Amino acid sequence: MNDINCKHSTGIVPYMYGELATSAATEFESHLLECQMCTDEFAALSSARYEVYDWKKLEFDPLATPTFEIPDVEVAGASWIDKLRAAFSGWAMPAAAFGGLAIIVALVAVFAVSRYETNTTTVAKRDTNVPANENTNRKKVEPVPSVTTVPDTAVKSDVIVPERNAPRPVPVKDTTPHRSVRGQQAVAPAKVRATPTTPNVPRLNDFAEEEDSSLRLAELFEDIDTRD
Amino acid sequence: MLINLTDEKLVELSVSGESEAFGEIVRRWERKIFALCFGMLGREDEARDAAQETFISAYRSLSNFRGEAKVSSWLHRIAVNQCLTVKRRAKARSEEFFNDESGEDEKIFVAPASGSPARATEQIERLTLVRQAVGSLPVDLRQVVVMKEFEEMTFQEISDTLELPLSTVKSRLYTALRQLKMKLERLPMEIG
Repeated sequence: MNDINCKHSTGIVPYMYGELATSAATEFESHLLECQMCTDEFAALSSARYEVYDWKKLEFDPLATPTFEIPDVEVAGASWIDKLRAAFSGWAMPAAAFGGLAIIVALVAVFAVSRYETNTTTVAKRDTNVPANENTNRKKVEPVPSVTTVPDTAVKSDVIVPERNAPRPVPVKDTTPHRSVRGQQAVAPAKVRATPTTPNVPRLNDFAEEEDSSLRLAELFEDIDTRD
Repeated sequence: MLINLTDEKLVELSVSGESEAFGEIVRRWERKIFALCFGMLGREDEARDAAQETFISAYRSLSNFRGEAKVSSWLHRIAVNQCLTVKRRAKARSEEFFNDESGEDEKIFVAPASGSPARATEQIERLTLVRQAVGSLPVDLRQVVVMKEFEEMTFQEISDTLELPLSTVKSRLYTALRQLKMKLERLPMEIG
């Protein structure tokens, strides 16, 4: 380590900086009295050290420590989880948790309401589609074709889908086309009049109605058939 | 509260976005890093710039900090690199303060010590010589001298910071002081 041939020379630097234990320091001092090489080396190193020490004392010590400011720079390589954690540090975390909970509750409420409304609409739709969809199940109940369209093709068809704006279908048990049953006119009116009390009456909705205007239309058909 | 935390814990907090934690690191190390930069560069303005860049660089690379190394080691390494960068930059601008031994600028004439003004002048010139001598040391030797004299660190602290054996630190300081002594003896003679 050292340039001089003395096994104690390794103690010069620690001794000079006061970093030898008390006993070791005392022992080294005793050695200095006896070893000229170590004494000369110690003096040379102390002189060099003093120059540096003096430089520091005169030029650096009077300097005030500058204020170091860290500009708003991004931490390079920070993972998204670190950034997320940083964004939600402090008071923001409970606030975000509360906000998130509120959003979840609101979504659940909206979902529940929409589900309820969907169920209600489905029931209504099911009732509306009964004539077309449940035709096979309700063999004895068939809709009466629209007043506005009584084409020949409709007459031939087994299933008659009511028009969108057609009058409410009436559960008329009369399955025979009107034009082809002229000879049975006496029977048809009786059946038509009996239908209002039928429990399988298809309706657009479940509301009870005071008056069913389609009955009058049926009567009108009946009336027309009678005239024919 | 932050003042009681270790450097490593402060870095951990800084990475997670606690800006105050990094502020505490800066407060804790600013004087030492400034001293290191001053000792390495010999000029206040350059030392200030290098120290500033050290902290900015450290902040930017917070997430790269590995827990195995000490924060002091990490900061010192960054600071030394910044000093070398500043020095290279200064050299490129031809404003280098520490001149090579072969340079013309180093021929500073030491005035005879007679009277107070002359003594003052002598002191200034002597300080210039010391700066030059320290600045001409190899980086590894210079760093140990500066850490010992300017940062006033113990051998053990230097050993821990540089992650070097204690004996190596003492040996480097011994070598550095010896070289300094030789340079300081030679320079005035060369100048004169």
